[in-house]
Parts: sequence; C-alpha cells; structure tokens
Amino acid sequence: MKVRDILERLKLAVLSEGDLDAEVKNGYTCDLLSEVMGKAQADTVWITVQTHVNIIAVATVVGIRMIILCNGHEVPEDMLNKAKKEQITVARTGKNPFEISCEICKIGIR
Amino acid sequence: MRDISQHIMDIAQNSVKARANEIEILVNESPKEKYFEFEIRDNGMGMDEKMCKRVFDPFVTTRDKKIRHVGLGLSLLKANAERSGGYVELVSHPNKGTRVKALFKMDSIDCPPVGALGGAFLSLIICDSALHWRIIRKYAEKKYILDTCKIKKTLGVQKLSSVKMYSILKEYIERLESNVKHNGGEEHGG
Ligand SMILES: Nc1ncnc2c1ncn2[C@@H]1O[C@H](COP(=O)(O)OP(=O)(O)OP(=O)(O)O)[C@@H](O)[C@H]1O
Ligand SMILES: [Mg+2]
Repeated sequence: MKVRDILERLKLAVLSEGDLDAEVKNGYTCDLLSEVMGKAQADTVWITVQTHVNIIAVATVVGIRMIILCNGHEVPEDMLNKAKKEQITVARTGKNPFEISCEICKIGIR
Repeated sequence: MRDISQHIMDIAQNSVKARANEIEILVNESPKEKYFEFEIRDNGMGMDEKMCKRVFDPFVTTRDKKIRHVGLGLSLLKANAERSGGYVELVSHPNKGTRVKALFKMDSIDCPPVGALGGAFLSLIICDSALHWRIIRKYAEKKYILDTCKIKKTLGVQKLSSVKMYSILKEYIERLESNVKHNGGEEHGG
C-alpha cells in the first residue's frame, strides 16, 4: 500500500508531504524512540504522540515512510521542515494511537 | 534511550570518539530532592563555538555520512532531560575538551528510569580500558570513586580488559553500587 492510499482511506490531515508513492508494508505504534530504532522495520507507518524533530531523525535511520501523530498535538515547525527534506510524510489525527492503529490494520497493514 | 544509564554510556562514547584520554564522570543522585544529575568531562578534541550551537540538532554529526547522517546522542539526551523538567548544558573548547551536564527531575512522570548504572560504568571501563576513567558516584550523602589508574595500580595490572578482570570489576562495582544505596557509611573505591 502506498502512503497516498493510507492518507486517502483514513482521511488524515497532511502536515508535510513526503514521497506519496512510497510503499508501506508495516505499522509500528510506540513513543519510545530507542524502541522504534531497535525494533521497527523499514517501510513502516509509525504511529506516535511524540512531536519533536528527533522523531524525524529516528525515522530516517529506520526507513520509516510515514508518521501519524495522534491526539492532535501541536507540531513544531523545525520538525516539519526536516520531514520535508527527508521525504517523510507527516499526518495528524485527533484520534489516539490505539484507534488509529486499528484503522490501519483494517485497511490491510498488519 | 530507555534509561539515563544508556545516556551516560552514549555521551561518554562521544568523549572516546573525540580521542580523549582522560574522562571524568560525575553522577549525583538526590533521592530527597528528586533529581539525577550527571556531568561528563573530557580532554578530547573539543568543538568550536559554531559546532557547539549545532550539536543538539539531530541531523548534525561528524560521523561518516555514508553510514548515518544523523547524530542522536545529544539530541535525545536533551529531549529526555527537558521532558522531565530538567536541562542539558554543553561547554567545549577546541583542543581542550568538552563538558556535558544533564539534569533529570525524578519526580516528573516522564523521567526515564536510572537503569543499570553499574553496568554502564563497567562497560565503559572495559571497552576502553587504556583511557583514564574517573567516575564519582554520589547517592544522597554517600559516594564512591572508580579511578582506573588507581585500580590498575592496586591490582598490579596493566590492562582491565580481560575476562578475569571483567568479573572482578563487575562484582566490585555491584558491591559499591549496592553499598552506596543501602548501607550506612561512606565507602571509597579505587
Ligand atoms: N565530547 C565531545 N567532544 C568533541 N566533539 C563532540 C563531543 N560530543 C559530541 N561531539 C560532536 O557532536 C556531534 C553530535 O554528537 P551526538 O552524540 O549528538 O551524535 P553522534 O555521536 O555524531 O552520533 P550518535 O550519538 O547518534 O552515535 C558529534 O558527531 C561530534 O562531532
Ligand atoms: Mg554520540
């Protein structure tokens, strides 16, 4: 499934557009960066409540294609700038990580 | 980083990479005032003023960019310390050395756990046992000191990186850690 498909099917608000044709094969829900770094796989959509430029750095190391920020938090500008530069799509939702993980699962990513 | 001990290892490894031969680690934990503070001082290559301002950007590193173009150690430390209500300070001078100080507020719900402090000290000492490590660990009113020069002298060895030394040091540090936290009186290592 492509980043673009997830955005459309879940009707998410895009904060920073990366490579919309990037293929997403896995999902990972976690807020602890060390855990994501050690355990998440490449080509992942990452679901988190963390909003800090550090998550973009972690995402580039892991090969995460898309980040969904939950609970509708404010997002710092520098984070979105870095996301753009690194071609990582960042979307935001008011839903919580469990709800959005369920939705991702329903459209076929497990 | 899962815990503060991993941060200490990580920041101390920066000092090793900066080719320091003397590294001092001060750890000060105050269970009463609910803070955890550490400071790492080295005599490595240091950084100029411009670099000092940039090091907390996770996309700044002097490592081989082909391997990785991010430098997370200091950025993650700063984010975690600040999330607990604490801070990180860095002072560095080219060819002189670097000092990094971090404070965590332990009464914050978002403060990471301390983790295996003794284990962190042990792996630093063993992995780069040619360096002079001086570790001063304070807990409340008590403290112990690990000084690798003194340890080598006392034991009459040149190197600390053997299997035998590993188990001796492991036991020794575990005992110091446990004494500093549980028993009365002051104990000095070294
Ligand atoms: N003690 C130090 N002495 C000299 N330079 C340092 C020191 N600590 C950090 N630096 C400089 O700051 C940069 C960023 O450090 P940081 O720990 O954030 O990332 P890194 O070490 O490059 O990568 P990582 O920590 O992710 O392995 C380093 O690449 C180095 O150039
Ligand atoms: Mg580092």
